[in-house]
Amino acid sequence: MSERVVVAMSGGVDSSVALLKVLEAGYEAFGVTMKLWESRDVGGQLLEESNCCPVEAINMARDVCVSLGVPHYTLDFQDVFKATVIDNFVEEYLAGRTPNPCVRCNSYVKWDALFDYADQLGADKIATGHFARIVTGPNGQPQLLRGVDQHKDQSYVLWGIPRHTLQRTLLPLGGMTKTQVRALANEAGLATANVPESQAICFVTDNNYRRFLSEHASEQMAGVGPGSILDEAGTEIGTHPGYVNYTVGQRRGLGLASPEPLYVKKLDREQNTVTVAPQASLWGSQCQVQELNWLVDPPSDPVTVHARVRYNSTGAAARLNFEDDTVELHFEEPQLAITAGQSATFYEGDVLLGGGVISRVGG
Amino acid sequence: MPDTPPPDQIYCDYAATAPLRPEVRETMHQAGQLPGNPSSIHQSGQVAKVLLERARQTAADALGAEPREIVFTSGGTEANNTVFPGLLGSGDHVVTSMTEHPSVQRPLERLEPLGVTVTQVAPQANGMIQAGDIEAALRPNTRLISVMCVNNETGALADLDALGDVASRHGLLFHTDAVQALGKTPLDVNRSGIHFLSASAHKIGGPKGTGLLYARKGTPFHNLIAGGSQENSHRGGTENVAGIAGFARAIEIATAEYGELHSRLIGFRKILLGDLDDGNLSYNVNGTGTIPGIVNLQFPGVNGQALVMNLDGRGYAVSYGSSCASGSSEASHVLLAMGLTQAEATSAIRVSFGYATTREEVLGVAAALGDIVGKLQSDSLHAGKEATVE
Repeated sequence: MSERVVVAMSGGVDSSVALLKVLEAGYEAFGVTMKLWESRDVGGQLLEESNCCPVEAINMARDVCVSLGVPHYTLDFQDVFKATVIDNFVEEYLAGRTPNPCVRCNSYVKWDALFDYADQLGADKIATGHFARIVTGPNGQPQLLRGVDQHKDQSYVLWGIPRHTLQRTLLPLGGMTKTQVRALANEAGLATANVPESQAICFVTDNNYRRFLSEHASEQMAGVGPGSILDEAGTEIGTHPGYVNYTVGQRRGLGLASPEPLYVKKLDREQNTVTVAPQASLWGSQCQVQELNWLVDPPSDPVTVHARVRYNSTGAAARLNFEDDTVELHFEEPQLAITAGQSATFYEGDVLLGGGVISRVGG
Repeated sequence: MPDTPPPDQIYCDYAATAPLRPEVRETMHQAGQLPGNPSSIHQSGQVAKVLLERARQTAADALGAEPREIVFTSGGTEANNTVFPGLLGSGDHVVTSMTEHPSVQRPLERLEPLGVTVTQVAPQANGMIQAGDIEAALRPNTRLISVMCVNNETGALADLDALGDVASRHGLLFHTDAVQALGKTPLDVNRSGIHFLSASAHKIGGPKGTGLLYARKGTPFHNLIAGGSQENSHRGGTENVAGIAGFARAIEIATAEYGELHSRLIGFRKILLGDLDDGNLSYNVNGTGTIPGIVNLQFPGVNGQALVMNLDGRGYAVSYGSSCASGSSEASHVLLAMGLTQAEATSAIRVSFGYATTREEVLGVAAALGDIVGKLQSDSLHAGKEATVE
């Protein structure tokens, strides 16, 4: 009997083609859509390109499954999503950090709660439409590799998945380009072939995280008030309505008159201050990384890797020094706007070794 | 026709909807070819009108009602929604149950801001709504009792005669949602003292999107859908002639075969529960004194939704609580009202049989249940032990 595979379907084109590829490979497949939130709970106007979770997305996923002759189920994961992703999103912003909710969703919802459900459904494997690859390494163990399509590679958001799940995971799009995926979807006549790309955080439907925080965490936000904008010398050069409105590296919306462009360099929750500086001052070579997860045998001696500190960066060579359960990351060349709360991922060639959350910027 | 053929499944979800009876399909096919509007003067209209009024007679006969007391609607939900708004006003009190269908609960909630108060009476642990409990909840300003005849999740059967007696002794109006009852248990609006009764075609092999509201003559009636003078001015809109003709055909067949089907379903229920007993599975039946066709089963330690999905994968269609459109997995309000815990309520499924169910199908679903539940229960036991060790 062929292996049973649960395909996580978002209602977009990528996961639809993932299902197609899984079926082509001869597996017995069925699709699931994880219902992570209700529109009425997250508020905001839905953007056209926000294609996760709303009823339309569930309908699209079901349409693809039915037209390919496989069952589709909607799984209610709202509780686990709120507890592991949304609540943390709010806490992180309130702490003056810039969170990466997609990473936590993958770690705690897709590769945890979904695996748990897959077991109850008697499934052997799960598959998703992420652009990354799982390949057997030289030691016979499965490894996670970047996607072949460099522009679409999503390995950055997968560093937190449990290593032992790699052998039960299929990422059928890792060897494909986005163009090939669209072409295949069109060729197969899938309902999702022309669904637009989703870029925004799925539950921040209007891409306005400030609106989300003020509506969703109104109690905590009540304690966030106006404060000072400081220059690097600590001189007040303006005021802000609340530090949570800013992220490191932000330039727009500061309302400062300055001969040279100024960027947010630091958020201080205790002092309720936002420190700004010229871009030159935002370059740094060092940060501390916590909450580590390894997808290979964990290294313990200092090692040189290729590190990425944000989704949209190609990364750069860096040295990892281990201290207890944290890592000090030293880039060989300075990097722009390393931001606390974002993920750091470590590569050797195309192999994703592991990653963690940036807990402190600077030495 | 859609390019997605129906899956090859054993259908055990009659409480959600019953497959269209072939005879009904034939009747609808013929009625659908009639060109006329029943309100038109010409002969094409006349033929349609006759078909409509014959259907009304059939429906009335099944309830012991008069044809003019039958208002055809788009279904049970519309019928329930029609009953309350015009009838109840500021200061009025309604006694209903905690286990009603949402199409009764939500319309009543809407009236609360207008000054209507609603008391929801709890069921007994077996799911039954006791007439005595309803009577105890009456107040001087109570105007209406609304209690469903057969519960859609457990099959629990209310004693309509006793409830009607309470209503009559206190001079109150009595509505019953009989969507799951029509064709499954004898109904007589006069014997039971019913003023309003809602029913639906698709639960008995008629078409989806057709239902009726029985409204006793002389009781106040409020038009939910204003428009032309169709349905004795009780519901505007050109009548769904083919659907209504199909509904009447389904009622005729259900009435004719009621006794025989009822005994057959009692037998099927015994087979199912007997097989579960033989398989040494841990399970409970939620509800006693139910109609035979609905079996609400609870399997400790099993995720009800996952069980439904597993059965689906094996080719058996059953349901988790009532059918839910939104993808949420909230525990059934019916089972919670009966005193089940959240964990117990989410470990329940509903298996429901009907006119086309065969003995082989019942044996099949019982065997599949035994297989899957056995595995899931041993997994959950295993998981529980691991958790204890840690």
